[in-house]
Amino acid sequence: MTKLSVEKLSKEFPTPAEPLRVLTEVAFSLNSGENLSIVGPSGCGKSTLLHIIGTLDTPTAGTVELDGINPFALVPKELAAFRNEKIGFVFQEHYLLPQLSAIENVLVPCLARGRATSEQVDRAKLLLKNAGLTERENHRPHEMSGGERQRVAVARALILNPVLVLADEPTGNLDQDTAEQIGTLLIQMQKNESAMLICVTHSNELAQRFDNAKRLDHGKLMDSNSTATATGK
Amino acid sequence: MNLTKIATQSFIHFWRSNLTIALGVAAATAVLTGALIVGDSMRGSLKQLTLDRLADVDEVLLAQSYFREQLAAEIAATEAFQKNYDLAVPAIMLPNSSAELGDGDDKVQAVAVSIFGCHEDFWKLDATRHLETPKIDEDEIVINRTLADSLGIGSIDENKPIEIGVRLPLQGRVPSESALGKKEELAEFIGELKVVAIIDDHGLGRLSMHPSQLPPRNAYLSLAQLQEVLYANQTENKSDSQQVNAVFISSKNSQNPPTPEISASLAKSIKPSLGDFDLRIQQVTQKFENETIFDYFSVSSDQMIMSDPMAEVIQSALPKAQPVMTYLANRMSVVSENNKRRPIPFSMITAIDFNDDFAPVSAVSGKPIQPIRENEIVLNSWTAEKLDAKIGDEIEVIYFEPETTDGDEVETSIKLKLVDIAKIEPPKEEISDDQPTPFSAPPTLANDPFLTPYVPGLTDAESVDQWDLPFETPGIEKEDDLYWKSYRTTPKAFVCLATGRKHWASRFGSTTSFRVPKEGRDESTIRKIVSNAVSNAEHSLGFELIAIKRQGLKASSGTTPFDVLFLSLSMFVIVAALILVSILFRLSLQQRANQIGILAAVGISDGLITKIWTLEMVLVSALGAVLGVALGVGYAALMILGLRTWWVGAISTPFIELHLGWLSLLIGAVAGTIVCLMTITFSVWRTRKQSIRSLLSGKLETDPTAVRQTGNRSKIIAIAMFILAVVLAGVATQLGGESQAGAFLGGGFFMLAAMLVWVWNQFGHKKTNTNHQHGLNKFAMQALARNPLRSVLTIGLVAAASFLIIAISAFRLSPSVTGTAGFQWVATTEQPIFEDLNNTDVQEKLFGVELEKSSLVLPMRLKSGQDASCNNPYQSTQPRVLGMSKKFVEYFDQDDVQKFSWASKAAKSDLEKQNPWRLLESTDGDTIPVVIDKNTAWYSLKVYTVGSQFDVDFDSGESAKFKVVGFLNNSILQGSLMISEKHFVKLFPQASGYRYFLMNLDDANDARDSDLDLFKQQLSDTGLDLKSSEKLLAGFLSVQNTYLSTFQLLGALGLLLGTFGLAAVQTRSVLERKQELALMRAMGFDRDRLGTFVLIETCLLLLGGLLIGMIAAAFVTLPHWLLTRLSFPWLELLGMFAAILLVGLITAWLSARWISKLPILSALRN
Repeated sequence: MTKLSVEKLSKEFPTPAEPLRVLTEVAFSLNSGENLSIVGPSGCGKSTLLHIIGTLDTPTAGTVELDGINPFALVPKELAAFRNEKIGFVFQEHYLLPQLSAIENVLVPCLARGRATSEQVDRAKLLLKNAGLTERENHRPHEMSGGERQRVAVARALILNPVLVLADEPTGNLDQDTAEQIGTLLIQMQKNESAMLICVTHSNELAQRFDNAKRLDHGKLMDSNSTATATGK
Repeated sequence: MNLTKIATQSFIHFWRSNLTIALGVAAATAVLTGALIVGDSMRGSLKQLTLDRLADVDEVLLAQSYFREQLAAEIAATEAFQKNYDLAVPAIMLPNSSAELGDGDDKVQAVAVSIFGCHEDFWKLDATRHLETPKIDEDEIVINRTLADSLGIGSIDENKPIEIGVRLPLQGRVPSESALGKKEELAEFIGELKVVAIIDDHGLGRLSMHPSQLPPRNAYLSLAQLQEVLYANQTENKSDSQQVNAVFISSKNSQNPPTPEISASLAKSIKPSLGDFDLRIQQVTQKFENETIFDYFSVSSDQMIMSDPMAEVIQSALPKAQPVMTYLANRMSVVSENNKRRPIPFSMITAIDFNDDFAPVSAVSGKPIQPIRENEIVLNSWTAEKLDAKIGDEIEVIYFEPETTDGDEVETSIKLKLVDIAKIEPPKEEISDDQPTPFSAPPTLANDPFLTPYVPGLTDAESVDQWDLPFETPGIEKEDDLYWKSYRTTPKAFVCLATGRKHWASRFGSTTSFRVPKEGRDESTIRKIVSNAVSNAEHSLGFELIAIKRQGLKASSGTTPFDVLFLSLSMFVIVAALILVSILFRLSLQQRANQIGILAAVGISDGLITKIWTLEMVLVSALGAVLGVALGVGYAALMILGLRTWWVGAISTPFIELHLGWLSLLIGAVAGTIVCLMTITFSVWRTRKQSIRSLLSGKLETDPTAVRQTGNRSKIIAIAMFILAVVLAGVATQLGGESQAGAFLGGGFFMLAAMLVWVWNQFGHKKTNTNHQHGLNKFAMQALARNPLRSVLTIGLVAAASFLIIAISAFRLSPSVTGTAGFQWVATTEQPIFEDLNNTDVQEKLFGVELEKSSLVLPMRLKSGQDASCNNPYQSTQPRVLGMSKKFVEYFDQDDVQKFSWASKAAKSDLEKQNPWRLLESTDGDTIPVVIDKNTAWYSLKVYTVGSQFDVDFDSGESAKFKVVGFLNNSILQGSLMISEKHFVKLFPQASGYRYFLMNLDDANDARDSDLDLFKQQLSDTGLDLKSSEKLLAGFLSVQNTYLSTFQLLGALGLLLGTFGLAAVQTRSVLERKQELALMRAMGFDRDRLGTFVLIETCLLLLGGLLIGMIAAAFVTLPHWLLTRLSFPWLELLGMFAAILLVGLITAWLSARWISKLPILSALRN
């Protein structure tokens, strides 16, 4: 079974005075098919945690293991391939490429390995269908609403069957109704794909819809209803 | 804290990006400064060459005939000289000479040799160069390096002395083309001259009267030896054998030539003697016992006939002097069937107006003869008796026309009514030159042999059989010889002056002497009057003081302003550098956009923000300009290296050297700073349109997500342009010359535009893509389509640059039949040829055989002058003049002959339209119609339109106003003014014979030597120089072709610089999309893959631009190349584009590499 394991993860940023500690010995694990939401105030280190798990940043201490692999031991080329194969991202900004249609945007991750295969094209169509965007397949981003663009971004995150989907404030730029739809879609598609999903958000409504919810406070991860500074599983 | 401090700190803090911009500024400044330095270098080199060519010679006194060597000392003794001048050295200068080494088949001949007869003082004129003074004794010669090379002489070996011969031009005193002038033996050969030194082509070693970057062929002989040769052949009439034809004068300041005022003062103080002007004054007295029959002063010229300006000066100085025109009649006879008397051969007839001073007594009435009217004649009593002529008889006078045609005397006649008979008294014994003629009865006024001027070989002959005339003298009998012995040149008939001048005046003059009444004056008084008159005459009368150094330095400003030329040629590089500056600055602005946003957000006004940026950029530009000036010197050095090597065709010889002018460096630096600053300020100014929010987020553009769409309209435009391109190309095939190249270029331009519009259409066209299995290439293409305007502009710039670079090849010129009019050879001779070389009798005489029927020689007269073709970078003020012979003009009346190509002409009549050379024969007041090759007119003479008028003052004293009646296109006749023979002989009466020829010579005769060989063998003594007209034309055209190559290479350099700009554009484009690219990294694109993606984008732009440019250029050049069989610089262009591609790829790779290293997180967080 695929498993994400985060152990004693700490992150400090150097400053002229003293190092700024953003994360303190964060630890948790997640199995395939499970999802987790992380909430916390601005600047608490949510995005930093997500970026480290997504291998976009490196920890000062501690380990991350996904599918039995410590990504930080990989050389840059292997790391890129690892990220491409195992992880899907959804950001607050959709970052769709304006020159491409919806389906082409979904297929962009495939280009990291060469050209998109027919199976991948079929899968992109399926994902868009599941996102309710069959009619929008050939539309470009500026021809779509904000919610539709974010749904395309969700489909793009899943195109290569990642074992882990990381969502960084995925509904931050959306109105409440649309945000709800995106949240539903994210969880639904994660369940369908049996992937792990970690979502950091300000939205308690969204966070509560996840199987597991945690809160990050002053760099420490705790259960959402806990106030103690304990690590939690 | 103040604005300057912010700007200074920003300048230091962002040193990397500022340095990049400064390098862009440096590139622009370098090119600007470099071009100015090239101009400085050209002018400086030409000036240096002038100073070198003339050594210490500042002025030269030249004369049309020989004068006393002593005149130099007289000049040196004048006050005007002693105040400002240093040396006055007499010499003989013979520019149209030739030199020979060896003989027979081994003979090597060098033509266009200038021979200087000089003594030791001559070499003092080169004092500043410390030239070792060569000592030249009799039968020794010194030559310069260029002449040595032409003769194949490497060095001198004392053990193996080298001897050469020289052929000097002899100028007949009596003009060659007058009936009595000599047409043969006009050169003297001096052989077995031992070469004692070979001097370098510097200083006096390259002394020449004409500014040219090419060293002349010079030879130096002892003055005494030359004087000896000339005295035996040409100056024997002079009282003093030490004659020269030039005085070289140096001033006290060798670096700065004397001012025009100083020169004028010296010119005024020069007082040649009457003998120097070839004037002869003698008292003519005839007495009988105590009675004076006549006693007057005769003023005549040793040239037999006085030039009209000289006659006018004398006439105005001596108003009562009677002009006399005496001519030689071949025969005189009575027109009557009943009169069977023998015609009187070879008689002098004097044209003079009878008046109170001169009225010979009538043999009929015994009274003074009344003035003769036109068409009337008075015979002397001896002649009347021999002809048995009666008053009222018609007398036929047969004579040679005063000017020869094709070297032949042409006989013509007039019939005049005999109105009286002048009595002459026979002398007691034969006339003697030394003794007064004794008479037994009083002689008459008609008994005056001095009415005939001195003609060497004629008037000094003791008897008729000693006459030395250039023609046969048939029909002379004993009684004629007796007349000669008794009366010598006493005229046998008189006509009035009007009749004489009507028939016997010529371009050489219309007066043979003046009969000056004594009026109580002695000879010295008359001499003084005449001497003052000729010395102070406004007209130079043959003596010219030429301010040669001042003229040379003025001409050093050059035909072509090389700074402007190289600025134009470097325009691609300059524009590319400015675009690069703009791009680099925008890139820097992009990276620092949030700073502007912050400043704006805190309430700093746009003006103040612009000020802060401008201050910082002043520092950046100044840094760039300083770097640029240094680089500019290097760029100029590179250009000069180019001109000395690859582009030497543009300047003929590698004479140019680097000359730095501080003003150019300053102008370059300031201009570079200002231009770059303007570019930068404009970019800052444009940010005012940006919202503070977008600036704060680091964005400079408006919404980049809005992809523009294009419709079918652009497709229609593309198709229309394509059709237009094809139509223009079709039209071009029907045209010729530059209009053909222009039409092809226009076609190519439309082809280029059509392709760019098509690309625009493809970028903007929204297509439903059903095949999504595409790779990075398509992905990159889609990325480019995101901002079609920028992409198409980028492609367009690369395409336009490469199009121009290649297509300009269509303007390369190759020799064509319209440039040579189908003639194979262009020949010049040092000695004039008078005969018609197409005449079979002349051919028999000259070559021993008749030439082939197909051989043709069209002769032209030549007035030597400056080469005004584009081969000579000096500004030409006195170009060479060609007098197009009647034969030449008439030749082009024929329909079936190859014609020259005319760029434009003022033809009105059908004949002029059919043969524009006929325009030369028109008369328009004092202006002389002239045809010029367009290149010569435009670039050297700065004459741009038909109908333009311009004045030329020649050093030989003539002045003329020319009016352009036509321009030739790229012809072999470049570098000359072409006027009709009629105008030529009037303007240059002294330039005799033909020295310039267009020829077709048949060389297919197997039975004997070919016509070409015959010419080479038989005319070598004339200094014949035969040039293949095709090669000559190719030489002219190579200048234009070289400039095109220069333009192409500098264009390629600009494009190369443009590839850096392209990379910068791509970097900027990537920065705008850095979040998307960071996302791709997040999705698992490794650095290489992302780099490849960016690289493909850049390559698509670069290759797309190059490909479109090349296709459009091929559309222009291929048909042009196929039609004109031009040699196309495939290799050069291939090399240039390979270099551009390589540099472009490397730059794109470096840029992609940089981009791929962008931090993902910061991009995503932004």
